[in-house]
Amino acid sequence: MTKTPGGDASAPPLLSVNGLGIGLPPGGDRAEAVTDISFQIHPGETLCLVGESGSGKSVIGQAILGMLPRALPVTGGSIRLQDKVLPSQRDAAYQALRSVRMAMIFQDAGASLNPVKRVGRQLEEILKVHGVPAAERRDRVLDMFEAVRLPDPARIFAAYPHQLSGGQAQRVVIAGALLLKPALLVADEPTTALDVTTQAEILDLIAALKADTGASVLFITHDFGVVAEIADRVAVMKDGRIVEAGRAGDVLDRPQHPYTQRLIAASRPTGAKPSRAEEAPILEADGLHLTYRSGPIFNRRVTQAVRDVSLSLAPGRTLAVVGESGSGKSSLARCLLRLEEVERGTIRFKGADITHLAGRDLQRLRKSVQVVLQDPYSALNPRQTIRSAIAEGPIIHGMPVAEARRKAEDLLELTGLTAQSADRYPHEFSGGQRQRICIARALALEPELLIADEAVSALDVSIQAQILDLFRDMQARFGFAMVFITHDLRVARAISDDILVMQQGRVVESGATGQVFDRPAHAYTRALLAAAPGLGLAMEEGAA
Amino acid sequence: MTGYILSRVLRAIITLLITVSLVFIFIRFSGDPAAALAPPDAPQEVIDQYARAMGLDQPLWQQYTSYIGGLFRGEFGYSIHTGRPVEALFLDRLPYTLHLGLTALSIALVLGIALGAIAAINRGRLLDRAVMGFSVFAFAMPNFLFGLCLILIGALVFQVFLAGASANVLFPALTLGLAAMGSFARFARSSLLETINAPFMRAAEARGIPFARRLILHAAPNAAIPLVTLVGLSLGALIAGSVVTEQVFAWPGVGQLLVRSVATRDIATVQFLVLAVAFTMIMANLIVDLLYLVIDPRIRVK
Amino acid sequence: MPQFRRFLLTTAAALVAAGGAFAQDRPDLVIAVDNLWPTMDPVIGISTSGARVHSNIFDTLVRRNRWEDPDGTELVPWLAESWERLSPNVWQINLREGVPFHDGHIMDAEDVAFSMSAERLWGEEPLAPRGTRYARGIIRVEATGPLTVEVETSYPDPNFIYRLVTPLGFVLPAHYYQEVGTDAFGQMPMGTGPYRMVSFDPSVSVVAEAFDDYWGGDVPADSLTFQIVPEFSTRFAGLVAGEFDVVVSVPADQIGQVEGTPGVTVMTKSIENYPMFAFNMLETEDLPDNPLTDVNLRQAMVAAVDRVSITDAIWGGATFVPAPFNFPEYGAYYDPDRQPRITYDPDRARELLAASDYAGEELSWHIVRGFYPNYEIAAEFMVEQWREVGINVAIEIKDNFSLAYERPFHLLNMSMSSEFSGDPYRPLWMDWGPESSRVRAAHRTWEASERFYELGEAFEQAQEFEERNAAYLALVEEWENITPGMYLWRNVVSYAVDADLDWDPGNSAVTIFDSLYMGGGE
Repeated sequence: MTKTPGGDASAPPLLSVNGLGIGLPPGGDRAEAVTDISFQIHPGETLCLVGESGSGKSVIGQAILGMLPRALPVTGGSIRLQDKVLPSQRDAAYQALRSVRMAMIFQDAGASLNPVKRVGRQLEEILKVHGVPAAERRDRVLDMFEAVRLPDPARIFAAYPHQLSGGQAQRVVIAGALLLKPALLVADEPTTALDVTTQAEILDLIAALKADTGASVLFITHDFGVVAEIADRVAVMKDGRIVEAGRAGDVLDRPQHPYTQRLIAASRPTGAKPSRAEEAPILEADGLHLTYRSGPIFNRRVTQAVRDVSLSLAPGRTLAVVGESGSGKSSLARCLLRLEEVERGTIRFKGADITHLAGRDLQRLRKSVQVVLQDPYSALNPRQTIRSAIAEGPIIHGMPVAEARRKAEDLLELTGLTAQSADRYPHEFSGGQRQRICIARALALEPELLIADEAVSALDVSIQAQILDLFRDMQARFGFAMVFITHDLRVARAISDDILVMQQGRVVESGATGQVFDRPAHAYTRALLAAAPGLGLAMEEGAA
Repeated sequence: MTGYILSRVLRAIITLLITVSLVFIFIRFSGDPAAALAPPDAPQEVIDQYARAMGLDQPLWQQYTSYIGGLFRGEFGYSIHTGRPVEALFLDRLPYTLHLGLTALSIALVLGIALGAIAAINRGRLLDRAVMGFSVFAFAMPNFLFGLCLILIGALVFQVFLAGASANVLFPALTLGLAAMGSFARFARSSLLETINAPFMRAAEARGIPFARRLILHAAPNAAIPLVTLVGLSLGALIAGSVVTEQVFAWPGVGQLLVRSVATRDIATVQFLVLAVAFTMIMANLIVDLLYLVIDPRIRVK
Repeated sequence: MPQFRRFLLTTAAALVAAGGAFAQDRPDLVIAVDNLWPTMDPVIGISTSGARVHSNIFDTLVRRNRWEDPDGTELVPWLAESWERLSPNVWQINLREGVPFHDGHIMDAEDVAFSMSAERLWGEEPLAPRGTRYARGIIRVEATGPLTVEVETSYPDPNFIYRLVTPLGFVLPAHYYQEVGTDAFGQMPMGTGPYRMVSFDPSVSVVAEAFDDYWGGDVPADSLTFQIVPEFSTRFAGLVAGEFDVVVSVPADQIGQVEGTPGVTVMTKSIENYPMFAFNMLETEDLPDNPLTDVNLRQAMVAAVDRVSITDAIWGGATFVPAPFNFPEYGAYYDPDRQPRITYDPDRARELLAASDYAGEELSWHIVRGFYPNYEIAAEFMVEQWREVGINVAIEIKDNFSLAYERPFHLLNMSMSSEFSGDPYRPLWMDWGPESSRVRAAHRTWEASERFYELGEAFEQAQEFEERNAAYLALVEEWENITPGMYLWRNVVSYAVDADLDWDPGNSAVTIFDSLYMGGGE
């Protein structure tokens, strides 16, 4: 992968941010979105601003473009572009700066194009509002399409956003951002929604364009994998502050701050998670049997759904249970959730036998063990605002109403939705958003164990990636253990530490995820891996 | 796409046939129409004479086939009272109803969208709450009650009579359009809010597109998409409402003709009017569907 | 001369001669009505809404004088100047000379003969079938001279002339009617009346203008418009705003409120129509073991309800509860002191009920929605009073008469018109006798006793007042003994009018805006 060497640190900085503070509306989890932020970007340099969602990294990008909403006031500091202090937020003067001196691209490129207008026209509009004569516009757009390596620029020009793939859309957006050759490109998670191959291509493209045009890049991401690809320098943010900054190589190789260390570890595909495997298991199952009986007495159909399944899960770790449909993986989940009574075997939660728990004790267990289901559409009551859907559990378990409602808002923010959306109804959300709500609802009870049953199977691939990220983020934040039931090996690969492969109710193979994928022992596991589309590619990426 | 349109047209024809058949049946089973024409205590011979005049003495299936046959030949029948072709009666009244209905729809659209936009832009402020409060009132207010209030206030306070064929269309139109205006306002607000907060609007801002241009050229066309459905849906309510409004305002439109024809059991007229209303509704829905093709490229490809 | 009765034009002629005072500055009157009958043929359009218009366009052969006596007991020669009974079954009508139709054509005997002809009213498949009840018994109508017409009936009818005030007596221009046909005539009618039709749209309005060649002299209004305004509140608003001069049908519960409005006067008029109900006394397939076959139950039901209090409560003195067939419009036959045989007496009702076989079965009462003002409200009171004595009646509201006529039912709403017969002949004998709907129609409710028929025939035969009055009282007694129905009250119509308008229609639903009814009839 090409990586252009990083900028000219001796030249005067293109962008300097000094002591920037941005306030939050009253009632948030902290007083300021970001506090005392200072950094510089030199011409031709790429700075990666890294942090988890909620760390405040995105508001910095918005502040640079002068696009902060009123609710987020600048509380101090300054932003300079080539020694000139930028106008105050939302000033009309920004219109002459945006696209011209600095441009911004967003996470979901498809969504950042107007769905009812042809993309070519949308790009022409940028030229139009910045005074480029009509005669030149089309050619300049087509040229730029070529520059971002879009196939068949004329066809793309006439296309609507929904007719583009995710990668094409991001190329179109990048083309738009670079049309007027701005000196600074702010890229806010531009590859997060993309699958890994496309992500690599887009990173490549940004690097190449940067080299061609000499632009500087402020690259906002949560993913150290991306940092490793593209950054000249890195600033790591946590809770609104920069906790570590430096040259990319230095930070990646020798992270100083524990938070940086954890983030870097989380970005490594396997084994890098701070291991808690040695701790006493939070969940153990031993020799579980479950048999379904149906039909009339003399012609009874007997299905042995779970046969002699044993497993063990350490706190903070994720166990994937994979298998085809009918393999018994969902039945196993129902046993662990105590929705089915097992015939034989024992289930222990935090060392206590819960196999036959009942009544109030079972009720207490339910608080600690939460579930996220496949279908986010039916999992939410359509007549309940999402705030009350999320707050309901804590209230039932004794949390004061006001506190529970506040908590619901916090969780919504954490899971990537806005607190303002708390009073809306489920139908107003997309499938991915609903799954976020379901996750928020599950987390509201601060479970120690989360059981996700095909929790991303109903979602589009790009949304899948986001939701898996969310699971990972939330796990890093809250430290719960997770049993992740899925038929999709890629998902299992992406999310789990350990894996359990099931066939016809039995466990045929288990072990550390990397190990099972690299050296599958059982013939069935090998067959599954061979059949899975694109898995080889994903494994390569992951190993890079 | 031709297939799409053809299937829609075919479905429209079937819907019309079903409507016509239901009306045909209901009007014959809600009391003997011939008896309704004769005085309450009329002798049987008089009732029979009316039944013969209306063709009600024939077997039901024969009445039905000759009626449907007539429809396909463009013969809709004659009013039993006036002897005039029913389509002529309808066409006499249609200009009034169109005048009223289109004015009402324009009022509802213009005021509704304007109010919705004002509320959306001032989201969360007092103005927003006032506008939304008003729109709930507008939506919930029964139009006959609102109409009567207008008329009585006009007469008792200003000594002006706001009803009747020669009165200004504005007042009945306001009455008729009020509910639709309320729902348009609420819908326009939420649709516009959703659009204003959509990522592409942020992106447009980041590209340096000025506010007014973003609102008019980017937000409005997107926000209009769900509104088009709503307009199509509210047409039914408008037609139903026009019957009531025309009664209250003594507005001599199709609605009043329908009420009078039902009351006087003018079968051919009732049948034609219901057919015309059903046809209007179906055409409106068809137009909405086709309009979708124009305004939303995402549907066009499917 | 006993066979000969004659009325001379008195008041009307005097007025015609004295006219001419208000030729200029005539108002344009607008009457807001709840609806209009779809055709203005005065027979096909027989209805309350039609009656408001007809007499302004057409004239009848004879009129009743309601401008001096609200109940109009006096007959006034109108297009007929005089009449004589040539034989018990034959009447000769002598027509007024030189009466022009609205096209200038002068009315003659042919027009009258056509208007009352078999072809139009009483033959096989007549052009205007709704007039059969007025033409009952007519077997010959003949123009015997330029201005004389003979009418022969199949039985002697001493009160025949009274029929000429009804729609039977409207004179239509034969030449015009035959030229344009029935339908077109109904849309653009022509008569000899004070107003000439200008335009008619059945769902909007009738507009007529003063006919200045009117034989009766000056016409008090320049034009007359009957405009449909279905909602009373809208009509009221139009009246207050000065748009309308007269609005019809003030809802009973709003009369007080409307009266309190400055510049508005409310007129309530009790008219010649009596809402009632019939007991279904028949045992039919769909109603076996009908408890109402028992006279004790029927009489118990009449005794159980306090009609007088209910009527006062609902109508506040605008009308009254009549003793059966004792109506003020019948002049000499009316006895203000006669009381109903069965009056309100709950104890008596309980006794009668105890004597009956009634075992608490539910009796269903078919009522047509909103047809008779206040009928449903009164019915609810009555059902309560019946419940108190142990009679279980359920009201079933129907949307129209043909639905109400569908069996089974125990009680059926109806009304009885007292118009035109001059004596109780019509309500008593035509409406309850062997040829009546009560006996013959699909919705019949009784088979009268032999005695009722005998008494009825005697009443029909009697030509002199004393004999006829005695027969009438005997027949009423038998009717009350059988109790096949119960009267509620005399029907009421109401108008709200501009307080400056000097107009009074008398006790009638017919509205006439000529110089007799306007200007106080002086």
